[in-house]
Amino acid sequence: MSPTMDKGGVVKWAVKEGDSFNSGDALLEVETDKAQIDVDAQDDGIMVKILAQNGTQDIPVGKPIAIIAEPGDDIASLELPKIEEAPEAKTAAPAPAPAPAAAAAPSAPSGKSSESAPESKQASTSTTTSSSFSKADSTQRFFPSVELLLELNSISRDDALQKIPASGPKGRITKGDVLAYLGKISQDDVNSITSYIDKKSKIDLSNVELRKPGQGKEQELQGKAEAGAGAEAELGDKQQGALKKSKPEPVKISKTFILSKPVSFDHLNSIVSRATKLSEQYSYAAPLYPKSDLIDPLFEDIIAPSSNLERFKINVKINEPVIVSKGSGASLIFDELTSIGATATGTGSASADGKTTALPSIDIDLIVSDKVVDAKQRAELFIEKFGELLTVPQELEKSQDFII
Amino acid sequence: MLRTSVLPRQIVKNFNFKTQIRSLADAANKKHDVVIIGGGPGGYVAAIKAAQLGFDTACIEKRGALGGTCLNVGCIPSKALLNNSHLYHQILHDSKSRGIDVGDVSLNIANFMKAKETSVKQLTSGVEMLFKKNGVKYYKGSGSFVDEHNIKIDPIEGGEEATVTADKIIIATGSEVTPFPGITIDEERIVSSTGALSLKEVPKRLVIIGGGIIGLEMGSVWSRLGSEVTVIEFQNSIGASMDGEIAKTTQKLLSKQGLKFNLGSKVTKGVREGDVVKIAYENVKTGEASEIEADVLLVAVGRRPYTEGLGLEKLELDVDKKGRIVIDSEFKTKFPHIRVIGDVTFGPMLAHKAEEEGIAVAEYFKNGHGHVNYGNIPAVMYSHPEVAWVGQNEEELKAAGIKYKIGKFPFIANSRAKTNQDTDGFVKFIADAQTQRVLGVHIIGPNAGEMIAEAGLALEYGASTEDIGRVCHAHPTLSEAFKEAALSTFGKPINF
Repeated sequence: MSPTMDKGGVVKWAVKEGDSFNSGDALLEVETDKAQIDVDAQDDGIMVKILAQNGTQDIPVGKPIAIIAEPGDDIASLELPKIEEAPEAKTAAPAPAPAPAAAAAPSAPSGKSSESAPESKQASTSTTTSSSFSKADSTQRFFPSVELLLELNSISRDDALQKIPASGPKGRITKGDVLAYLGKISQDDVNSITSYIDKKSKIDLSNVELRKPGQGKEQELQGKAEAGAGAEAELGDKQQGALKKSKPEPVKISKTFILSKPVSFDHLNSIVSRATKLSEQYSYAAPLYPKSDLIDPLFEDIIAPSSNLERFKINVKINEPVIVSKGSGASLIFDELTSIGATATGTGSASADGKTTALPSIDIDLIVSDKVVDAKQRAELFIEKFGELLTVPQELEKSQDFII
Repeated sequence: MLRTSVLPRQIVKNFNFKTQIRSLADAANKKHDVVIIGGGPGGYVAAIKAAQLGFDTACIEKRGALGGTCLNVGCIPSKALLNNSHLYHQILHDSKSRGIDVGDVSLNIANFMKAKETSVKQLTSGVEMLFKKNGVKYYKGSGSFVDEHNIKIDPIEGGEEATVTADKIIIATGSEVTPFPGITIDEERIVSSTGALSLKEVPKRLVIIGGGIIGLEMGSVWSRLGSEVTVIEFQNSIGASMDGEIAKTTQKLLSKQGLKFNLGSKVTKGVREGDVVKIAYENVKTGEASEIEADVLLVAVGRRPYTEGLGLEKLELDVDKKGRIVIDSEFKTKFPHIRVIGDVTFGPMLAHKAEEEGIAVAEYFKNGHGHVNYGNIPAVMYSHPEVAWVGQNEEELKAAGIKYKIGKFPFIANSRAKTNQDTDGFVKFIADAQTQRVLGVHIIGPNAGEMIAEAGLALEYGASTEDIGRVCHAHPTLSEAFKEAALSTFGKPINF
């Protein structure tokens, strides 16, 4: 927007409160002193609250006009910032535009007024700068801008070299240094931009994430997919092979299910194999994120490891009837007849009256892959679903898509 | 690659032991002050500089030619194709309006490629000559660490088997094309940038995965030669780290030249069926699936660090998740005498960045001090018009909360651009709102890649826009647009 602009108006919002938007989407139409301009979103986000409604005129530059949040933030739980504390209208940032959703730091759970974020950042950097200043290099030939300013203000070369701290490289006095010396801009402005330039001149080696020994390229590929670099969901045979190659200590999740009444082996076998398949399908497909309007399943899908990566290996064993006594701690199935232990967490007894009975049991061992981040979570889902299916065997019959 | 060489500890030890025994018996055990692994722009520059600083220097390269990816299958050959395809396109479509009537114009693709190969050959052998001139020992073969001071060289044709002992080592092994999971590159119908530089005929339909610089440059070449080019990009904008406004303008201008863009699209399949490649992709937002056929599919999704066969694991050097060798701010690994430069470590994957680092490391070895200003590394895309930038872009400054001002000047108002009938694009200055110090310059337009050097100079000296505005620029030149853009950041331009 125009540098000379000091106030503007909101013509029309293109998004409603609660809408999520993507980078590049038009957010609103702004009226400046010269023209009407569409303002595009700089980043993905959610419109939390519109502060300046359609048609509002003469909004001073710098006044927040809306609050936006990061994608994935739960709007309901956000604490809205106090607008009164927002900076006065002196900021020159391209203004009534709700500048980037990026303003709300990803780590911060609460949404921020988009305009207040830059202000606060700047304030914090300005205190740490004086180190980047040096005494002016006395042999320098002044910049043309510096020379002119000194001339206009009758400052001698010697005075300038003595009195003006140099923020430029190698003791060079910049135009900004002279402006600050003359009091035309604040020293803080010089400090903050100098420290920013200093920071950018160094290679960013922060947040280096080391590859652990044994981690191969597949990790990298996953990383790529997460970074949204367009990496494809499907992983080639090579990667699959690689997954099996390096074996640290495999994580194992085991659970024993004991039946609450005797069942013929053939029948049990068919139930177990159905339940295994269904639970596997369920555990791979089930969304791991909470259901919410704020969560875009497609986005989750892109950042999640590919669904065809193997999460765990399943070993199912049907055991000969065993003698169990009360309080064995193992899970029960087919309890719908006696209506106890409806969940598979089972602390109930094998038979309601506490007598010991010979009952078949099922051992499940899941060898969890350490290569896929959500493997353990999905393995647990499997166990949960498996128990559920055995507890309510009708569920098994209902599913049409499954044929033995 | 790396993974397969994670051997059980014991085997590694045995291996070391054997190699040492043999190398003792081996006559070809040479000693050098500095050994550089990799003869690309980073490695060869470091080697020459180290030799000039008085070190006994050797460089190991396994490609068979010096210059690395850049000279052999990257920047240099692509520029030959870009320049010549631009000429061809101009003669074909642009000569009439300039009052030049030409007869039959036809493309001789074999000679077209030969011209490229000649340039490459001259430049790579030029580097070899520079090695001789500066006394750099050139080992043809692949080097792998035996231990932190010894490197075994497995020779290629014309090379010699040797184990070299080095006081100081620079790793400059560069990068390789990132494969696209699920798509097999055969360099014939499904090609990487390497294959796209030497197609035997002009493909009727070229599909490119990736709208970064490599994809857009190769797309430009083949589009000018007659291909119907479609770019599929995952992000919502092209040009990777370009300034947003410049990226949008670039897309507009390239679209006008006939390139098609499918942004925000995720490729789900790319298979060769006979002489046709079938590509499936879906819209990231809506999930809507589409299919497209191509005669050639170019996979240009980026590059990744290359350390295959280097034996990093023997030294237990850290790599990060993307495979980059971990260094400190002085390019040091955990062994202070082993330093790493270029694509194989952090920072932008650019030849000139690697060169700067090569010089800096050689100077660190000599004086204990070297310098690279990472805030002042220019980037150029050699499309037409060219795109070039240096310093910060608007998006970065917004994210950092810096208040800035913009000064723009369009080439349509520049006399030289007008006489050249080449007026697309503009120069854009970004300066700090208060101190007026130049923070970034972004140019799209004729000769942008050459013009950006002046911006680099301004950044390096901490100039304000006024300082550029007060420098005399020759008339009539394109560089006047640069001056005028600087003027219009805080004041008014003269010619617009």
